[in-house]
Amino acid sequence: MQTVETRLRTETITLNMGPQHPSTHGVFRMIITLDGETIVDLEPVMGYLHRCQEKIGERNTYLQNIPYTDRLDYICSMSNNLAYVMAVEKLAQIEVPERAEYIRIIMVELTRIVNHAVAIGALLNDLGCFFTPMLYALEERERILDLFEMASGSRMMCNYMRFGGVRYDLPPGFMPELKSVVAALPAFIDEFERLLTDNEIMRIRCQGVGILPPDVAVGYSCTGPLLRASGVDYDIRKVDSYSIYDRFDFDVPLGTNYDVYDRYLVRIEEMRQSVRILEQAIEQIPEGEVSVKLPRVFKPPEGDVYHRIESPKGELGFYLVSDGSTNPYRYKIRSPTFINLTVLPELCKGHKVADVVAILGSIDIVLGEVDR
Amino acid sequence: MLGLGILKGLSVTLRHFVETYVSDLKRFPHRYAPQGRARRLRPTERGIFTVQYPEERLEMFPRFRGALMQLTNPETDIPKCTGCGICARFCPVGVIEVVRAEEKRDGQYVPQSYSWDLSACLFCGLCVESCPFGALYHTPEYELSTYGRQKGELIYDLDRLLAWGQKYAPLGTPPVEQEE
Repeated sequence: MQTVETRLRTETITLNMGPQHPSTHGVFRMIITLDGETIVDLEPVMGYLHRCQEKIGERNTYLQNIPYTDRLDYICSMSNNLAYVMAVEKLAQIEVPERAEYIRIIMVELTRIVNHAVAIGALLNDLGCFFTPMLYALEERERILDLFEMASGSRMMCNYMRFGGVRYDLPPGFMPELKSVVAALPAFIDEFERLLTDNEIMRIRCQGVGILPPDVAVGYSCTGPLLRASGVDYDIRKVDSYSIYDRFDFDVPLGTNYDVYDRYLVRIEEMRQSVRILEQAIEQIPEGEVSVKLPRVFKPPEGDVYHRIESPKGELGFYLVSDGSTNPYRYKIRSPTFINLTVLPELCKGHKVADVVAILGSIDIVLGEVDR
Repeated sequence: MLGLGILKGLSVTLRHFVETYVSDLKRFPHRYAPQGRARRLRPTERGIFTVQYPEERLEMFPRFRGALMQLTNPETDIPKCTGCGICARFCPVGVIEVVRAEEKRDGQYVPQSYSWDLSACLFCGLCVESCPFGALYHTPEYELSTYGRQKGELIYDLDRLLAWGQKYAPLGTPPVEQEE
């Protein structure tokens, strides 16, 4: 393991980071082997937040699983809802009314903005720029969470989507509020960029750190902004379009240098694209029904189904096996951050300890989803 | 020039700082007056403001999922709940326990006992959604901490839920709930 050529006899040391560490975004542990200050090996240890979500999912009925999906990635509960209900709809072949589709897209894209703002804020927190960017991000998030609360009754644990639509129609006064929030978003993103993008300290800390070449990213099956920052044009909204994403005009931003800074830029650009989608959705949203009537005891036909969506963090998929009863026989979650996290040792090798938190922050993990 | 980006960033922070005070001066005597609160919360309003909890509180949205309440039938003065137990069956964590009374009251089944365990509740609202008699609703109540977790504190029985029903029913149930 001797990497540095020296006449002195040196030994590697093992550094234990986490599970209780402010920069690990939750209870996540890394066993880092160091040569001097350079990382030669890193072993991620997960599972401190394991809550048997999949086993609980087999006990619950299909409907009862929806509130549990909120608690996977608690920053973006709406997209988790969407992935799960779309999987069940695919299994039971339920048609969704037009208006419900639009409401879903609006909610999911708002969630994407929330997630990326928080991800960038948390990344800057990890880099040592304490709380200023984080609080600007949270201020914007607060307005969007107010919209969620207005529509669904809860800020974070929305539990808003249902099989064949959404729980309620949008309340009166939602659309004007949404329009004013969406109109204010580009200014917020511009300000965020003015605050950070040209900042020399951030550039020095981020550029050239944690380079993930495209072939490695594909090899580890990374998805989401992490993969797109590595220059791979793969957005499930485009390549395997679901819901009504084919009706919207938006671009997929790609990175060119494959480093932490590129992941930051890709997230900023994705927020802008989400605003574009929101503007189009607000324009096009029709009137009409928002849900279809389903029997109180819902039993999908036998069979299995896998449905994936582009959640803000990457490919979120649900695999369901139904035996025709009220409960799923098997309930498997393909969570994006768990799989993105496996590439962490590859990214960190050769860097210093202080860079680990930057790289981890740029992957954007939520431990509720990693450990399930 | 090196450092220009940092200065640009600092100007953003400075503007945020100044804007708060400028906005303060604009509404000089009454910044925290109740009528100013709605204005302060608007997305277009510049500057940073805090709602002065607990002196002032935000009004909850009509759909807010707070603590549960049981409604009473105003004509017969008995609970609307019939103790059918559908809410308990729909609850993902099983925090609701219902026992139906042996005999009817005024030709309607009534619950003998009803308990809601707040300590494990997800506040997902599936119980309210599933109630076929429109007896169970959410209150806008959110300050629910207690000193203990036994019955009468974190575990709510029928009487406490009905009391909340008496308190909040005059305000009217949320319009969306009435449609269904």
